[in-house]
Amino acid sequence: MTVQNSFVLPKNETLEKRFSFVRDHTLRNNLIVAFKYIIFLIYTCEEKLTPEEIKISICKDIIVYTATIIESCLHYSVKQFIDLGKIDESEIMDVNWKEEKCVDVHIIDDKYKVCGTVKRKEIDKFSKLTSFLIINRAAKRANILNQPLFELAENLRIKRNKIHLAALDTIDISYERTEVDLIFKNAKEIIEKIELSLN
Amino acid sequence: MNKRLLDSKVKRINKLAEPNPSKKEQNRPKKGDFSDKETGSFLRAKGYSSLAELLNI
Repeated sequence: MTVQNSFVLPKNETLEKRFSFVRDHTLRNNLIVAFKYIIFLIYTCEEKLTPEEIKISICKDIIVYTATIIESCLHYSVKQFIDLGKIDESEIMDVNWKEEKCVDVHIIDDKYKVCGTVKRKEIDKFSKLTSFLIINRAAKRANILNQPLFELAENLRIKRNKIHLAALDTIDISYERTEVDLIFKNAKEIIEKIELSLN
Repeated sequence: MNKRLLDSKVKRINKLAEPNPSKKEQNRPKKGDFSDKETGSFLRAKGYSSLAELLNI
């Protein structure tokens, strides 16, 4: 199959300028790489010779990629808020009671016993391994996302999770080009809010 | 035919075999070229205006 359309990408300087609010050089460049790949996918999707069933998968790929961009931008903004002291980790992360010690107090029978447990309060750490769900919640608690934007970010997360094929209950072929542009619209709103929060 | 003459003919044939695009063709962006305006126009024409707006192109 040959690509018949001319295949043109935005200039690096333009994308660098657009994402200048991301001061992390590596992340900014990875975002640029991801957006270029998305544009390449769009060119391929619009190619007449691309089979329809492949176009559906390309649409899914674009949505998944867009969601990962949003996840990384939200992660960056929350991390910046913590590092710059705008918010304390304890205010935005979940609290867990971690078991430290368990002592048998009374043996009832061979199936049951009574124990005494010492638990310590522990605040989850915000790290590179923090999940998309926790990132969204933290971004909302940090007021980076308001309720409507939080819901959009959650919608993106749920769509991103469709990359896990074993977790799908239905055949995943319900993607359309109109949905892709709606995802871009949602992504734009979230990115603009992140940008505003960081400036 | 000496080698020098043969080389000269081969060079001329190779030159003739090269594509000779029109000025309009030459100005048109090729695969892998970079142009904000061209990419933005393409995205808008195909119904992806939100991405064009997101990228400011």
